[in-house]
Amino acid sequence: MTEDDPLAYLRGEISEEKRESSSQSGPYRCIRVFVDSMAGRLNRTSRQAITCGLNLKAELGTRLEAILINGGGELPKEISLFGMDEVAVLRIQEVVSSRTLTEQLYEFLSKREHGIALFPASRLAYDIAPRLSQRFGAGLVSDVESFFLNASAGTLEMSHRTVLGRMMETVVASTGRSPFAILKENAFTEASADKKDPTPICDVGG
Amino acid sequence: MKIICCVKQVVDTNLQIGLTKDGKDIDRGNLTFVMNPYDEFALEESLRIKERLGAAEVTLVTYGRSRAEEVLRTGLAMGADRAIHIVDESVIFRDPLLTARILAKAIGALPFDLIFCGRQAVDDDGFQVGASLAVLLGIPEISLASKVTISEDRKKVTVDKNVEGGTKLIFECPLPVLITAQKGLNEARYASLPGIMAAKKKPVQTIKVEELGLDLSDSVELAEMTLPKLERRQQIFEGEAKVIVPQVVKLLKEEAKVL
Repeated sequence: MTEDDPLAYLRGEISEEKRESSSQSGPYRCIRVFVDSMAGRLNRTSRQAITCGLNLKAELGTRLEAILINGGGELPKEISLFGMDEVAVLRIQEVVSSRTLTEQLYEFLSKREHGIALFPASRLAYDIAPRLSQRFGAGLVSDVESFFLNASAGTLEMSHRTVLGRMMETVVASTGRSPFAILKENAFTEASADKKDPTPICDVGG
Repeated sequence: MKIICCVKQVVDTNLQIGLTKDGKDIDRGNLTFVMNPYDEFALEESLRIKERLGAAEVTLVTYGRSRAEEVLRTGLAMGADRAIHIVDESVIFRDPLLTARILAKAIGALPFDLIFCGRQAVDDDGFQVGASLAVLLGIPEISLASKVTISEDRKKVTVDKNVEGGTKLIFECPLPVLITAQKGLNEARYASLPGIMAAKKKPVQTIKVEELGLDLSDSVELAEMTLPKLERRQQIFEGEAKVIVPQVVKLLKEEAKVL
């Protein structure tokens, strides 16, 4: 990728000199999927979010990580078989307020590189995603049904329905910002944990 | 007790809605505007608490164009005491994050014990402003309330919330707190004729958005608006029900995406 390629810039694939001097540090350098579980099983909507993440990874050619909160048992291993680059398990005290969880996630994510954040259609997402996006100053789009990579403009377009589903709005993150998206339920198919080589699992204390 | 209720003027979604020629906005030429339905639930709950407690004041806050004053007058007619209108004539599409920052700047200057918002606005379906506003104000937020109870000493609130799987969560939280309202919380009242008359005399403070001194940059921008594509397909299944039904269910789930 050359420096003239807007996608290369967005991925952070630019020279070290430019990267240090630029205030825009490759907002699409990483794709981060938040996954949710209930009763020890991965939510259906989380599987859909993983599919979305895998699709975007294929288009953008960037890293894909899964962030699992408090997943125990076989769950991290299962997630490691979806074909991502890393699975991070964040251990947080079980019963916390949305506010506390947001701050812990903010602290955790602040130490990692910027990236697109994908949330499944779940209570966790609707409670946490707006808070996290406000903390990071990142734009959040809810109920995203599709993504389109506009290579010539160097933007990732996100489409969602508005006006009670009667309009389709296409939105882009402002220059230099990594977008957050809550995915619409059933907009993506459920991913299958069928890869032979498991992804590394990183257990991060809360 | 000081209660703040955020309300928004939205397009009446019962009407036929089209797009402007540049595809950047809804064609608002022949439309009527109403209070966002979820904000009506928020306001109704504010008013019920006010009536139960006796000594309480409800302040409405809205951010929008000049015509948004109509929803403030409606809210005042329903029983709110005063209103604040943050006026921005340029607003077409507004990033919800920025909307929250604008509201926070105005509300942060006011005393409050409780803030109510609707869970979403039916025009942009952002689902964000309530939670974002709580972050900016440094207060807890409880979303999708199905029941709200203030303690006798007026220092705590108990909120019921229904979540996926049929589970009910019950939160207890000291004030101040922000609560988002959803359908089922209550049934919003209509403004009475005496209320409508009284509303004309209730104070509406107007603030121009520029006066708040905020950076008004959006974190997301509108690229375009289109009408959703309508696809009509038909497929005929033949065979035994026990064979066909799983196929239909799979298609409805994976292709039509309605299950």
